[in-house]
Amino acid sequence: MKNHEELKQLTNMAALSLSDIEAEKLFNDIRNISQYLAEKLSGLDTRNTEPMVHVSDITNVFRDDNESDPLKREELLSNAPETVNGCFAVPKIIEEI
Amino acid sequence: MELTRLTVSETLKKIKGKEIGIAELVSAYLDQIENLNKTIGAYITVCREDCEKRAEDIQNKLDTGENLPLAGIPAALADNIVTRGVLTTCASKMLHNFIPPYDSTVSEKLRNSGAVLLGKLNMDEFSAGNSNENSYYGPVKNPWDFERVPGGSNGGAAAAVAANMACFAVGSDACGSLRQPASFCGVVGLKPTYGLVSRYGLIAFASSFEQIGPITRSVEDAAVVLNAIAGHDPKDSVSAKSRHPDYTVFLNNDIKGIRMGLPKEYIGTGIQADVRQRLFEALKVFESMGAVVEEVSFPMTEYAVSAYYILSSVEAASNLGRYDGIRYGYRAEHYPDAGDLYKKTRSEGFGFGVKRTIMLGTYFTGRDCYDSFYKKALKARRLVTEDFEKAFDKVDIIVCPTVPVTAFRAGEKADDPIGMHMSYVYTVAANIAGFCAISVPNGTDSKGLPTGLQLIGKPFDEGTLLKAAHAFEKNTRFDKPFDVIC
Repeated sequence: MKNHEELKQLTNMAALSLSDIEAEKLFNDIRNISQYLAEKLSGLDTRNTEPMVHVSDITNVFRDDNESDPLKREELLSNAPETVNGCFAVPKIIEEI
Repeated sequence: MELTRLTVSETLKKIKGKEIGIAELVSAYLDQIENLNKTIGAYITVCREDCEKRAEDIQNKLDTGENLPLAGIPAALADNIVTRGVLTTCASKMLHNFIPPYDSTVSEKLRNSGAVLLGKLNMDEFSAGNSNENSYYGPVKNPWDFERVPGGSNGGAAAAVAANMACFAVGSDACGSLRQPASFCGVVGLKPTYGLVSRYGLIAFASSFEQIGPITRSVEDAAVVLNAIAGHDPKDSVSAKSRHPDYTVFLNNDIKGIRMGLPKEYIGTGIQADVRQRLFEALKVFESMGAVVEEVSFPMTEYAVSAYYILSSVEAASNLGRYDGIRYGYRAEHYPDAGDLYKKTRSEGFGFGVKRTIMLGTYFTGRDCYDSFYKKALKARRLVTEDFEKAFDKVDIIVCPTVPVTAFRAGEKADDPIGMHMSYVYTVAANIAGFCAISVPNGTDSKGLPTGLQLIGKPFDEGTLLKAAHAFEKNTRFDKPFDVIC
């Protein structure tokens, strides 16, 4: 973490907005933690090692294309803060011309 | 007779023998929760009315001859396991109002087995924490000493079972989140092999590490609960297809000739003296029963926590991307546009620890960090796994303490995220590699605080793991915390 500008970009990417106090604390935390981890892992020789993303070697788990019993629309919408005509409502994202 | 002090197996016998009624049993647990929850904070939600009605239903089924493996057993679920119609918060403001329209597979299985859901348990918000000090609903206290933490992230589950506020609990374990609190609270915590128990309906944090498992008062109970929750589920795409055995069959007290590996890296620096002492006493117990203990080496130990820290942050940052205030959960009130709605909702809905995890995860996969952090950690993951695979060529089970220390004081490590993670140094490898592991009570330290013994087994060899843990438990005796707090 080089500077607060980088923190700002990161905050934006993570879809967060931070208070000044939070930003200061996170800046220090990210710097300290990443320095510690970088030092720790620098001693590890991984030149001949392949990355391991998952413990299971399963790939492409498909199911048969059968009809199932999905949740009802009103159940799915029951937790939504705002709905319109049986749909999730979001603020307008396209500007009017 | 204190009904709430009985194990699952003891309670089942009394219910089936008509010595006790389910309504009476459930009422005893509700009283215990009423008396202690204000102090301990183990529950976020108590389902008083639901479980009284359910007690009646199960009793009727039982009286008409229906056979249910967990008939009438009062249980609780961690609040990151989705329960149809019952508030599920993940200990976060973000989900403070989330009433799931569906059940997790585990919840459904427990319901079908006849268990009675007492309520939902406190935890670290979205599993981000190791001491249960990071919950929107307040911290959980350790029943052995209210000044100390119960461990985390499933502090509520361990504290509830230890303080007789649930007959058993079910939670999830991403790096020790069941075993470490079990060790701190003097109960049994089992992390099954990755893929044995369905994660459908488990609110995702670190998906490639976490696995659902029980916290119980005995090893036999862990086997009984595992029987009820294990099994293939098409709704969890990494769920294992193989059929699982009846785990109680393995509990025969015969561990003659079992080969146990003691990792030499785990007994060096950083371990509390009396925790080490208890370990060596436990090894003598195993040897007296005919097990063979030999030293094994895990040279990659020092990299395990670092690799987990990076990979879990990355997975969590991705998993927590779904909380946007649109479909469920918290939504901020004032926002000029959609982008602002997401940011405000997330900033107001998540606690600081969760924000730090998201920021770190985003940082580690950034352009400048992807190779040096994320990819390096993935490679370290393989090396840590290979250490264990080599050891399992020689031995059947790894034996070590669960945590190098006993429960620490609340607030002691609040500003030390790395130090906090070090309490997972012995437990995290089982998640990195996907192995099964269990923590069983192993006496107390000089302050009278419980310490745990951890056994780690080969993938899908829960049978041998439970057999060894059960034999150990039967040849030692530890008092329950109820005596300490009341």
